Parts: sequence; structure tokens; C-alpha cells
Amino acid sequence: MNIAGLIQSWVSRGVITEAQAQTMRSDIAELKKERSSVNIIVALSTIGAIALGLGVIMLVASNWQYISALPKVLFLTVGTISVYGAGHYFLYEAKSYVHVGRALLLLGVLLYCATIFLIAQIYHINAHSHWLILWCIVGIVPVVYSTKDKLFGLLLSIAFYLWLGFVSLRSFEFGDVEEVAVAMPVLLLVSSVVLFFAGGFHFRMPALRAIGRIYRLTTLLITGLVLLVLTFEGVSGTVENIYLSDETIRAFTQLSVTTVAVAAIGFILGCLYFLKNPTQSTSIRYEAYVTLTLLAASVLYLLMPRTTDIFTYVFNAIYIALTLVVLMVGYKREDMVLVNRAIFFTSIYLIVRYFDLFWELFDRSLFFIFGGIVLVAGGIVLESQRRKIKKQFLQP
Amino acid sequence: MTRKHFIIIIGVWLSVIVGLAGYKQYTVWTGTTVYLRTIPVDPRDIFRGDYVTLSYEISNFNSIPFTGDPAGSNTVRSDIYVVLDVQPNGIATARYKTYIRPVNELYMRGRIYGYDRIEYGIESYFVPEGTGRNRNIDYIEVVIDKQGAAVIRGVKTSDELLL
Repeated sequence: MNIAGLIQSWVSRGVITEAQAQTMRSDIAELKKERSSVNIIVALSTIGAIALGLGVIMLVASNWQYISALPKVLFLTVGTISVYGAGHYFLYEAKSYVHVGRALLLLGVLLYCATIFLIAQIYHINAHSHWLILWCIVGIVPVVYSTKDKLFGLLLSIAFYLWLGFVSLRSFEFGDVEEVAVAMPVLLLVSSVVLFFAGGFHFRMPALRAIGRIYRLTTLLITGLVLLVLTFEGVSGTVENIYLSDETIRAFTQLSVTTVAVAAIGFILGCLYFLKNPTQSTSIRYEAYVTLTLLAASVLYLLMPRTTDIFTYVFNAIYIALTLVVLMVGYKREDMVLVNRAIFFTSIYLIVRYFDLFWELFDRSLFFIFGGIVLVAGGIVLESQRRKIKKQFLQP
Repeated sequence: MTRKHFIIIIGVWLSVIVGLAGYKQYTVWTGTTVYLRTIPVDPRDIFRGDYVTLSYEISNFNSIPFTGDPAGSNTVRSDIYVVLDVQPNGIATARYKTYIRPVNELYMRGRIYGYDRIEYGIESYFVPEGTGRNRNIDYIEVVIDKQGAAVIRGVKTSDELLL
């Protein structure tokens, strides 16, 4: 039941008078109008901040050969600190232009990261260096924990995954070692588990709950997508004719040792999170089961010889279990974001499996006709279920 | 966020920025300038516009003789030091490589990648937008400090170096 319906029911039950209901309706309408104009201000100032940041970066980048190194570094540093300082002033000191202040803080953080990359350009530091992203992370972390703003939490999560990608590509000597490249998603999975539990610990501190939630939602999305990749037989199935050159063994050893070490950290964090959690609720138990199974499957997948398709089935099972747990937790906590994520995982899985199983089996025209019917019907069913759940959550 | 938090954030940012730029600028100010023979290829960096990927004659691990104990030559990504000979025209060539940091020699600190590649952290040269593909580069002007760290200063053709 929505708010209007709720107010109407209060009037009909005599809880409130019609005049009070009218006041409530007009207040709610005013609040909605206010929220809408705030959203416009936030959108405009954020777009403005990003455009300004891009402009400064492009100005320095395009003219970098005409200005010597130190003035450029000085210009960027002073610009970055001024913008961040202005944001801090508007948001926390004067408290006059809160939304603009927040946008300026975002711009300050983006400029800080841009400054690092431009210094790397000025001194010709190797392209795609993961160290640069790590330096960005070092600067974003204190902003996240002092502002406690979800936006910066999201930025930090994205930077973390970006760093992980770069560090893997740079540090592991892939060459043309396909076998090792195939095992890469596993490192993403175990790292996601670590970030997931790190996010969980944030829930113990009320002020950091929003940040913890952002970490968990990001890891959930990445875990789901990476698991989806691993559900393909071509990715996690049997590998024939493996040529174990010295380079393959060396690259695989590096990847395995790193992954097992990260998995061990994830395991310790998971155990601590589970044991230290005072509620020991069903949803926390299921979270622990799925993540620990994920860690075990990932490590076994890396260390066991790839002579069987069993891991394809295992990752399919984990994907389905993850979707069900997300749906269950979302339902129990009346959290529509989690329910939507579970529906997204289900939809994408069905589409992928449909293509996977029937592409070779059907005539192309039949494949698309049948697929279209299934998609439309599935969409209707999922959307009606989603609405039903949402309606239930809104009921008092 | 209090004013104290603000100062901490700015302190962290300044430390990173000054540290990163200062480390490279120190090499530029205190190092020895040499020219290294190079072979460029030309990709693009999503963050920073055009750059030229560089490989040097001294990037080939197997072409440089070993001095000292070669034990551990299969070590993954170990640091390696390449001692240079500098000709009167400034062109530097590798004399030998070693796992032990040389004393009283001009050397570059590198890392072994794959079977036969040494990287020195100077494998990218950033150029103005759109000029990378047409660029003729024979030599790279490099400044090397006493710790073996190198920073690119510029590029030269054979003609410019009056060969």
C-alpha cells in the first residue's frame, strides 16, 4: 500500500480527520517537490564538477609539452586542494551550499587522481602502472572514512577492482598462457569475498553502515558476473592438451599463490565475521555458507588438474545458491535492492543458458522466435513477482 | 568531517603527490644523462593520451653477459642491475648484468619479465596527441641516479645525436 492509500485508510478508520489527512497530503507533495529540485541541483552540480575536472585535465594534458614539469605539478596540486577545500567549506563549515559542496568534494577527489596520472605522464612513468591506482586508493580511503559518504565508497570499490585488474595484468606474466588467463576470474572472486566480509565488519559501527553496504553491493555484483563467466563449460571445463612450459608453470604458480593467500584472508575474515556476529541470524549463516563454499571451490579449481567438467557444475550450483541467498536475504530484510539484484542474476542466467544450450540445437529463426516468447513471458512473470514483493514490503 | 579530518586528507594527498613527483625530480636533478638505443612501437593509453612503448637494446636479458653468481637466475621478477659503459657521445651500452647492487659504477635497476625481458620503468614515452605514429625515435635521453632509477628526459634521432 502506498502512502496515499495509507492516509486514506487512516481517514476511513477514524484514526485521523480529513483536515489532518489534507495537511499530510500537501506536506508530502511539498516534500516530493523539494526532493525533486534537490535531485536536479545534485545532478547539475555533479555533472558540472565532472566537466570542470575533465576540462582541467585536458588543459594540462594537451599543453604539457609547453609547460615545464614543476609548474604543472604545482598548478594541479594547488587546483586540487583549492577545489577540495571549497567543497569542505560549503559542506561542513558554512553549510550553505551542501549539494554543491559535495560535488566539489567529488571533483577534488577526481582531480587528485588525475594529478597522479598527469605526474606519471610528465615523468613518463610506465603506462598501465597499478601503482598509480594504488596511490589513488591511498588518497580516496581517508575521504571515504571522514565523509562516510556512499558516493566515495562506490568510488573506492571501483578503484579497488580496477587496481586488481591492473596488478594482475602487470604482475602475472601471461604472455599467451591461456590456461592462466582463464584462472584470473578466481582471483576476482576471492578478493570479492575479502571485500564482502570487510564490508560486513562496517555494519558493527552504525556510522559506517552505508559504506559497508556499498562495498557489499559492489562485491555482490562483481561476484555474480564473474561466477556467470565460470558457469561456461568452455571456461571452467576440461582443458585438453595443456602445454606446461616453464613460463606456464611460473605464471600459474604466481597466480595460485596470490589467490590462495587472498582466499586465506577471506576465510579468516569470514570466520571472524560469523563468530563475532551477535545475532547469528539465518541470513548471516547462509551468507557464510555460500562465501566459504565459494572460497573452497575457487582454491580447488586452481589447484586440481583440469581433467573434468565438475567445476562447471560446481560454479553453476554456487551461482544458483548465491542468487537464492540474495533473494532470501532481500526478502527477509525487506530490501528491494537485493531482490532486484537477485532478479537480475536470474534473468541474465536464464538468457545465457538459453543461448548456451539451444544455439546449436534449433534452427536460427525458431531459436529467436522461441527465445523472444520466453523472454517476454519471463519478463512479465519476474516483473509481476517483483511488484508483488515490493507491495508486500510497503505494507505496514 | 571536522577540520582535523580535512587536514589529514590534504596531508595524505600532498605526501603522495610530492613523494611521487619529488622522487622522479630528484633523479632528474642528481642523475647522469645518457642516451639509450631504442625500438619504439605505438599504442594508446586510455588515461593519458598518446604514448610510445619503448624497448631498448639493454632490455634483452640474454644479450647481456652475467657477472657474479648466476644462481637464482630463474627467480621470478627479481631485481637486476645492468652496469653501463658510456661512450664520449653519451650513448650507453650494457657491460654486464648482476643480481648484486654495483658500487662506484653507472648502472640501471631493472626487473626481469618472462624469459628474456628486463624492464626499467622507462618503457613509455608520452607524446602530444596524434603525433605518436609519425615519430622517429632512435635514442632516448635518460637520467640515471645513483640508485639506478631512471627518468626519460627526451628523445633523439641518430641525426640529432650527430652519429
